[in-house]
Amino acid sequence: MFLTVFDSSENGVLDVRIFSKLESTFNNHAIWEYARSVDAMRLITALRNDTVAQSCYSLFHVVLSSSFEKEDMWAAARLASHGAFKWDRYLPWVNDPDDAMKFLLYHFAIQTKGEDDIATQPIEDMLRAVAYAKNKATLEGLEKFDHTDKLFVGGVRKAFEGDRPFQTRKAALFFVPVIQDKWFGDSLEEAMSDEEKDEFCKNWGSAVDGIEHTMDVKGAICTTFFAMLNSKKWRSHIVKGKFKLMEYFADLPDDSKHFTECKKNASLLPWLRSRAAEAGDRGTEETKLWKLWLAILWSDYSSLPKGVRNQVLEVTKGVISKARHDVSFISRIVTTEKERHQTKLGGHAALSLDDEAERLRARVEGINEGIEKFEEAVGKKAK
Amino acid sequence: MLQAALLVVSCVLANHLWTQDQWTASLAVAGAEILCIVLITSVTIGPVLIGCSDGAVAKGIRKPLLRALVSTKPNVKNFRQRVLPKRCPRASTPEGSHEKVEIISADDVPLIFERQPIDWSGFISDSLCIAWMFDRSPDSDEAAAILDFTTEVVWHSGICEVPLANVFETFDKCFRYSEGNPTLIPRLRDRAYKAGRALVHLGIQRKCIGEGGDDPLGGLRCIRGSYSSHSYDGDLDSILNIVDRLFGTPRPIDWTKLTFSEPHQRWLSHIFLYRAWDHLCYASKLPDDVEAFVTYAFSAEGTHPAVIADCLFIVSLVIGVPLHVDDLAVDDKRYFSHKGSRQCS
Repeated sequence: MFLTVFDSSENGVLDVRIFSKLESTFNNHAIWEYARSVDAMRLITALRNDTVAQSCYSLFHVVLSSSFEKEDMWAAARLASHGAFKWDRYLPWVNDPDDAMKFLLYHFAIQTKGEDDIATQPIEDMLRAVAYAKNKATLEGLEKFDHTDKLFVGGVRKAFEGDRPFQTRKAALFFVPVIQDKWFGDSLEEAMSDEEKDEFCKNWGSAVDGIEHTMDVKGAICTTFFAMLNSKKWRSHIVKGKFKLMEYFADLPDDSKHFTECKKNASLLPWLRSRAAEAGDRGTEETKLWKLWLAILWSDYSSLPKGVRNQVLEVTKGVISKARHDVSFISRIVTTEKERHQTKLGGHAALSLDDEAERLRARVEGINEGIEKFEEAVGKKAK
Repeated sequence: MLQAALLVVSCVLANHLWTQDQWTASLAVAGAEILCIVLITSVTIGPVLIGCSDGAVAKGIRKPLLRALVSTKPNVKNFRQRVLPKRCPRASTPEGSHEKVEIISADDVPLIFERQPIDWSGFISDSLCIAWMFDRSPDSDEAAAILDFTTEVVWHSGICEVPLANVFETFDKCFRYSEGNPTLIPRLRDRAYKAGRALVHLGIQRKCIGEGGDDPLGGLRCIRGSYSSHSYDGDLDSILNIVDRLFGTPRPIDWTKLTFSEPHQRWLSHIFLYRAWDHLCYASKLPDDVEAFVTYAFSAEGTHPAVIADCLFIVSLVIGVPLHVDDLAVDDKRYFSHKGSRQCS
């Protein structure tokens, strides 16, 4: 008769032994241990466990800094990255994105050479890593990286194509907001032709359609949408049906960079209006959308630049002279925005001095100011 | 009661005779003593000898008695020394020569599972008990109990009585051969499962740590075709697949398409640990079925920690992390449904 005891921490002891042995193989350049180390990695990286994911991420850096033959090193790195980033419930923070981007670039390169079977899963794993497990250190590290490198741009474009796995396309949707500051400026002109932009926007739109629009997804796709809309060189490539994504503006944070820049962009309102005019009688959706944009601008009227304010006033007068019922549409949008912010403010104490509470109060004040100005503009015209 | 009454009467009679004739009284006392010894003996080992219907009493008495009888066997103490050096996988060294590396060891390797040392000699007693019970032509209930007990024993090289033939016979009788391949007789499903499990357990452990040569099932290889159940019974199908592999007629298996009961999966992972050990002694790679099982167990949601532990042991063996033999041999009773709880086995 003997007493036994089992506790999950004993599995932790085994994990530690295995991973320290694996790290020592790569640290000590133990070539004779390589084959069985890779066999063991192939098995253990399938385990869904917090400790294993974290240990695999550490091992990933160790493998990439090892002096094994390049092909052997990449093969082991692929297993380690899969072990680290395969599981949705736990993803280690990408604190040092240099290795991640180096890994991604290498696999984009072999993908273009026709080794798609090998590259697909590692690309998915690393897109997931940067898209879902980014923190301040990740974003700072990515600043140094050239996002307009032709190989990199081609690889990201490929990740949106219709034949890619669902998880790859989903990760790519979340990855683009990380790099879009540089992508949707002027710096991408050499790396992507107009035809390629058309194709990218089409595939991006198809990826958007292929995923459930949860709160997180809405935030990610809306961010990219406004980044494209803000760019003169990109907005004309957006697929027709995708302008509707403007409806998700309420899911963005108030300080969302590209959304704020869109509101301050004096070229946008006339562009949307002309687009609606071009569509003519068939352009019901286009018309609705530019009026929605007008309403969004009214809800933030107090913080708009003077030039845009004048545009808003002028356009509003033109609208109500033709269709009086549009007044109630704009008014309803602005009021809804006010209520949304008031509800958020309700979550704070009445006299709270928290930064967030102060910001919300200022926002509600700004909306009130916009409402007053709107009523004034509409009322004068009515008289 | 009658025996007790007779004993009391004997004592009263002896007392009376003592006053009359001491020699006659001495004879009467001796008779009473013999009666007393017979009474005690019949109460103690009666269930063992007669095959008492009360299974719990029988089991409780039979096992310690048999263990006491065989505990002095001389070959038990040196079990580790004799078994361990026999099987050591080779690993190439930087110079390209080959050097033996012990991945299973009893010395200088810390234990992972907290417990008292394994009672290796107890397994010998258990094996004798099992052999003795098989010899008694047990009925179906008894046979089921024996087969279950068989899988609780670690069949190491110190054990001489290995009931492989009995277990195989029990297993094979659950199938009919009229349709070419042996096909399960549906009403004998439970017996086939238990016997198959015991057969796999014995076959793999004897191949791995036994002394029956490298092919303990060799003498039984008279079957034709592959065993099949024509059912969607993951527990039984997995066993039939392993039996076929052991008999040299492997069939591909997709573990992801089988569902297992928790006790079965725990047993399976543990026996695969032995299978992995056996294979890694001679080759650098795991058998395909073990590799596929480990990947399946790691990938599945909610796999029992005991199964994870066995699979981690398998990974450790693959990579050459030395393990303590007690950690390898500990049976799956180490695991309980509540983490950290203690239980006697």
